[in-house]
Amino acid sequence: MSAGLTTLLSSPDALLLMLLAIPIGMVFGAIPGLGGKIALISVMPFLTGMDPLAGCVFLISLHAVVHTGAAAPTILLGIPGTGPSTAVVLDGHAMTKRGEGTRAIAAAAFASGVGGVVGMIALALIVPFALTLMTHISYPEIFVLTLFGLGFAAVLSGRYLVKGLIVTSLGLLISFVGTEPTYGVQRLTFGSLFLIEGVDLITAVLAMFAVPEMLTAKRGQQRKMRVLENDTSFMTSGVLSGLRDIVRHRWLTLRSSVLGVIVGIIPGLGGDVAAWLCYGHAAQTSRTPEKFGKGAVEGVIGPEAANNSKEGGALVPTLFLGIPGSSGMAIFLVALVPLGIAPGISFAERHSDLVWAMVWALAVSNVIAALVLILLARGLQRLAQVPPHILTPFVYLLALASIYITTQEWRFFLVLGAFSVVGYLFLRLDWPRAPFVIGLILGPETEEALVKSLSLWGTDFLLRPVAFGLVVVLLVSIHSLPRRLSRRAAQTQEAMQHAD
Amino acid sequence: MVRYLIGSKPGGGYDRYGRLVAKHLERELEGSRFIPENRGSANGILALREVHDAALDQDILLIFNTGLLLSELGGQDGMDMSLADFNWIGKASSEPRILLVRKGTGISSFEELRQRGEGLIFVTSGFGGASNVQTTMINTTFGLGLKVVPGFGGNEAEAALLKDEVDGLLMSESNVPQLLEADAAVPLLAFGRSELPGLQDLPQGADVAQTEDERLTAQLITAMTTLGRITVAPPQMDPARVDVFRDAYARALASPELRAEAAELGLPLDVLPGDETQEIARNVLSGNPRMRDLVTAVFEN
Amino acid sequence: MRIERAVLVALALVFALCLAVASTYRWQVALGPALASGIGLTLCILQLALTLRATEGRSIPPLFDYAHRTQFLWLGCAVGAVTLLGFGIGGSIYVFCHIYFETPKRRLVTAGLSAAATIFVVYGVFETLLQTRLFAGLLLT
Repeated sequence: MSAGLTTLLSSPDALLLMLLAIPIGMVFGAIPGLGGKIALISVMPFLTGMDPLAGCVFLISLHAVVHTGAAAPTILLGIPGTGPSTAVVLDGHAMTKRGEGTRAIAAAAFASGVGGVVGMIALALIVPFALTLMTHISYPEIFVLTLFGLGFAAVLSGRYLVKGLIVTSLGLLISFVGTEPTYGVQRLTFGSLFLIEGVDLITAVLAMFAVPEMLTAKRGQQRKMRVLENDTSFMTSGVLSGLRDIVRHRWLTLRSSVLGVIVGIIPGLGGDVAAWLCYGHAAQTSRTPEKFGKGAVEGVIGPEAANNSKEGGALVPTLFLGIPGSSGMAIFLVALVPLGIAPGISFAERHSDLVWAMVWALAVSNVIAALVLILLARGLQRLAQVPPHILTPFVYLLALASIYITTQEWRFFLVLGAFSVVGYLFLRLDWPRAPFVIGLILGPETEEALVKSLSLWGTDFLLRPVAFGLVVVLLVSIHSLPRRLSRRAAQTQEAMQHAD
Repeated sequence: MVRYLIGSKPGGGYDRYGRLVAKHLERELEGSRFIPENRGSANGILALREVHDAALDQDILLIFNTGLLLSELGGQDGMDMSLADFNWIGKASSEPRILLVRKGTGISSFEELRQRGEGLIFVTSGFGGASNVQTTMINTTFGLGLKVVPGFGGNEAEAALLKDEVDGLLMSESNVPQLLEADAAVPLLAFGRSELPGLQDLPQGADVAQTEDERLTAQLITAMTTLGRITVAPPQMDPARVDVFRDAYARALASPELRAEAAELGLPLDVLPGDETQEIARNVLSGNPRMRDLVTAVFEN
Repeated sequence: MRIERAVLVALALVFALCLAVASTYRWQVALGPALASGIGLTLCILQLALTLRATEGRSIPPLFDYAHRTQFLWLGCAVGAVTLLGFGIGGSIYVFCHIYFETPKRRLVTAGLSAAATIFVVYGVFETLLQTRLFAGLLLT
């Protein structure tokens, strides 16, 4: 492992390219709709002839810091920069509206940095067991894990459990619209050709969160926010409170980072899943779960830590087996081709220096990116201080642009309009909206794992040892959930009475 | 700017060939910029349609899953275009197909598979993809009684075999050596002559065929192995432009740079120019009616 | 209360429709949508029953009040302008109008500058710098 650091430090080319990759990656993250995959694809033509180490470090740093950059539009404008940032939109943007944008950005940046480093340490500890872990985790286990994710939807629904589950089902159902990947059947498209690729995640998240918030933005909110920011005359107080949040929630940061690594290792579970699992985990373990969705800083920390740590985890199947751990990693694998590197079964043994140098680059670039974001936090916060009547049109245009960049299809503008009405209704009726996105993200993964499990093992699939263990844990946590929820509700009520 | 669509998920063989070809086409056509895009859903039918419906002046190419020939032959839903209408730019390889089983099954020959194959799980690419149709055809005509499960794309099938979750595969030769190296699989049968170590002396599909249906199946699969990694242009592309791409393709595939890179990546090459490839494909598409019936039966399954 | 019931009924209908459609597919394709819509339908009926039984209604702020209706109108304008005239032209016209008419003092300069910024971002940043062509509008393609 330390040999990797020496390798990295002794190559000035690699260090230079790493520093170059950080701003490029952050910009690709910050422009909604672009993201890590497009960043990798865009730089591929420049890779030919590069030194393999320098090239690998460049690629991995580029891909790693995208989420850190994405925190800016996600938190300040409510427009998710990348898929995994959809988990940060809710609480990050709510904090901005409360005038705590700097704090949210700082917390996101610190969590990302810590996530990157903890991810690296966890990775070093896990790697010896990773291959064993992978042989025990297959479709049945992935299926049960996705059930955990769906279970978090219930936690996030709080008092409105049934409504939350209805919204989850709706999200799941929408996720099945489009061409079924194995049989090529056009499902639930009702004959519309543009739906054959399915409903785009970014469109749905914008319609559920960003647009309804803009629609209901109050004129008076503006002034209040300025006052709050002026109160904190000390230059970096927002940054400091972000740091304090991380220290206060250090265990959450740590757990989310480790969870991120594990989800990253499992092929077939993408970054979106890692982020939402950790969002759910943060809500479930929070002392104040009722604050989630209304600007709880834990809702920023959990997914941000996982976003960056899961990159390390995803390297394991990618480099050790040549099986991409996520769609981003699949493109990463392809981008390695011009460097003359073809990971496969014995690649990591033969090139362990290179592998560890990449892991170190991952951690170091995450830390640098976090620092950059922290330095920019105050300046970026000003963006959110623009009065709503000037900000709103730009948010709408940016939302439409990010939809067009991801889908290349104008009809999704109309889908945005239609879903915005649904999002608005849910907001006004006080229905939980996060479960919708959880359903939408986990739908395809849940279905694939379930159908493949049933095809290979029949209904016996739940009897595989790890799957069976997970089912038991799931049942126990479901059993204790209502009690814990009601206890928390009682505590909150009590606290409120005391406050009165 | 030339859009180069790859009709498969990232990471697999089509992807590697596609990106290699795109990169070297870009070098051959000075001042051009090739942008590879993966379009794997529904075995690339959607990508094929996109190319089919492309605007007249659009520079768009596609490397497609050879299985689409079978989709057309079997009249699969959604396949209402004829591949013969497209402008074929060329093909990059012949990829013999190898039928293999997991070592743990204890099966060491195709004869044993015939006798003891009942219930073994063979996984394939998506329904209607080449490996799916061919595996199902072998299974039904040779009466093996296997359970064929579709939906395992890219390296997923190999990973499942390595993890002892499935019992066998029909796969392209280039991916077999690493499974043999890991001592995970036993090759049983080849379709097309393979030059790779450990695969040269395998019996051919045609050798073990006994009935007429078995012979037809072996014949179709073997014919398709010669049509590997095909690049096409839209049917309506200007003939002069098509010639530009065909020439560039021939030059790129003959260039020492591409050959060296392909060797390094372990991608075997066996190049044919566009017009000749198109001819072979026409013959397959307008072939024996019984063959068509056998393929159709797979899709109606 | 009435609106909530209407939403529940609408959702129940959507679930029922999808359940019916899903039942025509083979099991591997039907399983996911059938489970999602089946569970959704059941829960909608359950929630409807709960809502009907509850005698006192929660007070819900009025839906689609005047301010929100205006905002919806602007969203419609944004979608319409971009769909018909694209990001460059439609987008900048929309930004100009939105800012001009929504600013209490009707500031021509602010609106004009914002529209110019939009044009710059669409053509300068996206098209030239990032090589990303944004939608040019149905009427102009």
